[in-house]
Amino acid sequence: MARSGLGLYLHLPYCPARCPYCDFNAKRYDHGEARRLLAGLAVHLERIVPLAQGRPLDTVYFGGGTPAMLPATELAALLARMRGLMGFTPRAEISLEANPGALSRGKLAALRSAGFNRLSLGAQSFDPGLLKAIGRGHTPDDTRRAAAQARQVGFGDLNLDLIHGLPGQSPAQAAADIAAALELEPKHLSLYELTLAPGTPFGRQYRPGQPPLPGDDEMAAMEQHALAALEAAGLERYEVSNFARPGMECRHNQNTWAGGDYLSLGPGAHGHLSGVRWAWLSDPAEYCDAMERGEEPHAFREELSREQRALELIMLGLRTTHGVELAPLAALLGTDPRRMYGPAMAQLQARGWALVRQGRLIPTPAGLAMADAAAALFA
Amino acid sequence: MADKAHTRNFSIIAHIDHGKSTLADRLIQLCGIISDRDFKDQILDSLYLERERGITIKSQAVTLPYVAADGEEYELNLIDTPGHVDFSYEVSRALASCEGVILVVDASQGVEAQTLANLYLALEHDLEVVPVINKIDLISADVDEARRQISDELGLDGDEAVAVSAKEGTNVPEVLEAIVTQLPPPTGDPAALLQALIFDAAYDPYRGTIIFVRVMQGTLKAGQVIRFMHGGTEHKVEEVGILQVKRIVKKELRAGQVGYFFAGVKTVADTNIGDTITLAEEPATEPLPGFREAKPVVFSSIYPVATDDYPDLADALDKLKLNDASLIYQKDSSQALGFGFRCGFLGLLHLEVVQERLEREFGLSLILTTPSVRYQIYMQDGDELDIENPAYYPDPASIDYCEEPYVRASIMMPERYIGAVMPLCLDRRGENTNLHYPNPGRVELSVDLPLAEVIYDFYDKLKTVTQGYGSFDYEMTGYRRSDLVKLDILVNGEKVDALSMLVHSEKARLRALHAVNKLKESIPRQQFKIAIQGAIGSKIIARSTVNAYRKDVTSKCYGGDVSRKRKLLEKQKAGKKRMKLVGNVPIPQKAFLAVLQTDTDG
Repeated sequence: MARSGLGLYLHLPYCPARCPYCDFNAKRYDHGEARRLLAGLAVHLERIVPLAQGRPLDTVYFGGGTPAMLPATELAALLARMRGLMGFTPRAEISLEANPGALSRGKLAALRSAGFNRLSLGAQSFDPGLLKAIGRGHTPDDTRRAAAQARQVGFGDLNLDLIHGLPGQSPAQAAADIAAALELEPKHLSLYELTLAPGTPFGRQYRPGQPPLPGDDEMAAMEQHALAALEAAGLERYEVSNFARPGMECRHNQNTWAGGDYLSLGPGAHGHLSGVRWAWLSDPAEYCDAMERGEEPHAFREELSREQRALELIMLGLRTTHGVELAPLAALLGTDPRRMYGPAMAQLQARGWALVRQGRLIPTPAGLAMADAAAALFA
Repeated sequence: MADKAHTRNFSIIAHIDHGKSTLADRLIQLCGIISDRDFKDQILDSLYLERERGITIKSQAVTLPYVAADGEEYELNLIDTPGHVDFSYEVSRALASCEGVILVVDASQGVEAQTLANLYLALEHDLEVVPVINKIDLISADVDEARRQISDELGLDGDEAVAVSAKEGTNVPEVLEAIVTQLPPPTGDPAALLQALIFDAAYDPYRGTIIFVRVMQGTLKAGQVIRFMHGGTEHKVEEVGILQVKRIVKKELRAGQVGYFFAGVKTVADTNIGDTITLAEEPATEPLPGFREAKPVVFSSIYPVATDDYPDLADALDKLKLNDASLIYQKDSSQALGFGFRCGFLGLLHLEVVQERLEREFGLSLILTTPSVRYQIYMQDGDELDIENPAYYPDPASIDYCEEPYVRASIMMPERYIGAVMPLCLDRRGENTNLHYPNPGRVELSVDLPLAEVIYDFYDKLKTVTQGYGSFDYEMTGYRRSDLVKLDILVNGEKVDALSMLVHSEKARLRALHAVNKLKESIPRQQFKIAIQGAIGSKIIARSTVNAYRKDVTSKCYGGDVSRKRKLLEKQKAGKKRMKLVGNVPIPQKAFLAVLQTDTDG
């Protein structure tokens, strides 16, 4: 696939505290365990080198959890090892997720000089009351300070994460959040609708669309406003929840959505290589045990059929404004996808959810809003 | 084998929950035919469903050896009876096999509607009645009041009634003694022409049908060729015996005895409860009185949720039928639901029992259509039709008039509830109400009700408005003229044939509203608006709308989400099979169930 370079995703599961809406593989920071995990990661990194088959890394993504809460020296050391063992492409995109509360100017400078060139700040909201209500430890000013300092030390590629549809949030508050975020002139913005995950405090406490969560109409108003405001600010939507200035899209994620290869490191991290998907054990202690015993810490590993790979390409592609490339799909299936998915493609177009243009199946804005239902047509 | 003088045949009858099964268990335990270690509580309720609901559905018999205070050994045959109005005919056949009954009255609840109904039934069969007061261990027990009610309301000797706690075993031996001293021995001549009454039958996978009988005249032995006097078939008796929880083979069953036999009868449906057995060579001149064919009164179509389960459903019904002669069914088909079966049941409980057994024992996922009664339709051209399936309801223009079945219901309750029960009965088109005050504070309401109203949700509503204190019994009385319409439910303009129902015209709008609102709650949103309508012919009488989705997309989808998301899609694909497509609207099973469910709070 044309756009595909090799990625690497590193998962660092520690957070200062658990947020009540989050169902990621994350836990409260534990110093002893974190030390052990860093040692384990160093070992594991060496072991996964052969998977790269000599390809240098084009994108690296440090996610979590809150990876930036680990000492800058440790993060820098990990990155240096990756570079030493696998090498980076000249334009490699090296992202780090960070919590605005856990950063200082010095730390940011150290991270930037270690080679990180893209910073993703979990702003979530600029409303002090809402931030408190969703269990975030930082203030709007922390976010503003972190963004300014990041820019000063040379992080030109700055992303802000926002969540809307928060308990008690009005469309006016949501609009104020967007405006506050745009004032910081990010090159990239991810806007998520609050998802009630089962097993989380929010999942137990709230019902979708029921007070205090915004109702259907309010949600639609928030979204409509956000789409317009972001576009006016020059941030183009390129995926359901992702907006960027042209050329500043997150290449790591684009690679994932195009069915590209990415290695993985750390507890619960998922990887993909040519139709083989796997994840490592999600419990840090079990992950380290396996590492120390010299075992592969697989939580699962599956080889996908051609049809499954095709379904993934469609499912992921229909979430992006670039759409689904039909040529790779045809190569994969050994037949014209229009033959195999005739009824589904006809339905998509009939419902106004997608168009076929330039050898791609391109979702319309209405189609992006219905991407799950659209993908279900192909299953 | 005991002679007639040392035999007693009896049943235990009681209002539901007055402790019939527990008392039966204690009697069995006392007579020592089963070790305490093997004792499962409520041995006679062998169906788990009965155990869960505390209702006895199938009757069985057990022979208890008992050495009485007079030092003589007696053979006490306990014939268990089903405890629900759906099975009143089976009860009557069981009672016809006895000389007496034990009438159980709960010490805290006193006499209830079924207590009375059971007593009348026993008296109709000329049975001796021994009252027993149970549950004296309860704090709320009022034994004196129970004695008074037994005397005043039942006309029995309340002062002599044995007061027991079946649960704790208190005074239970006195019940055995009362059976011996107060119930008469059977009559009948072992040398006369054979007449044996079938009071139950069950399917045994190794031996065919096991038939339970009370020998009235003559002697039944292995090797005899017998004839079913109503069924007309002849069979050779392979084995006779008595039941002591296990089967005990005997040489013969003589007049007055209760036991079982095998005669190579393949299915339970080949026997009729209430039929008389006689010898093929020397037949009795006439059968025993009281035979009636079990007639279904409630009808519903059963469909598998997954169309490919149809053969499994057919197989499961065949198997159930082996043991349940009163279940009738024939092929049916629906545009919305595909192939299924139209089934007839003795009542709503019977329907629920069958549904639960199909789902639990055979692992089937089912959709049942709205239960219907059988209507009589008189056509303009003089034809007469029996219609229980809305699909066969003729063009209204060709109908002269319709009749629907009625019951005479008897409702017993504390007086304070009459203000709530009376409007309920009137709302259900009740007529000819009659109040009877058996004793201060209690009232018995008799009322004519359409059976269709009774099977809808009458019993649930009654329980609600009387806070569980109302009891209910009914008997079929016949047909009356009625204003009937066929109500159709349409989803996006397409008729969902499986949801059509025949209803009284006054009730049509309410039922239609209920259906469209329930569907609205349970049909998942689509990308388009869904109109749900209730209609009589082309006239829309109720409507609701399922709004279109605005959005259907997961917010986050990154590297770690791909596998889970794909698997979800694959699972949804499997789930699609379990949806029924009407037009382009997928309707889940729960939507059909929701329409059939009634609100008991409304």
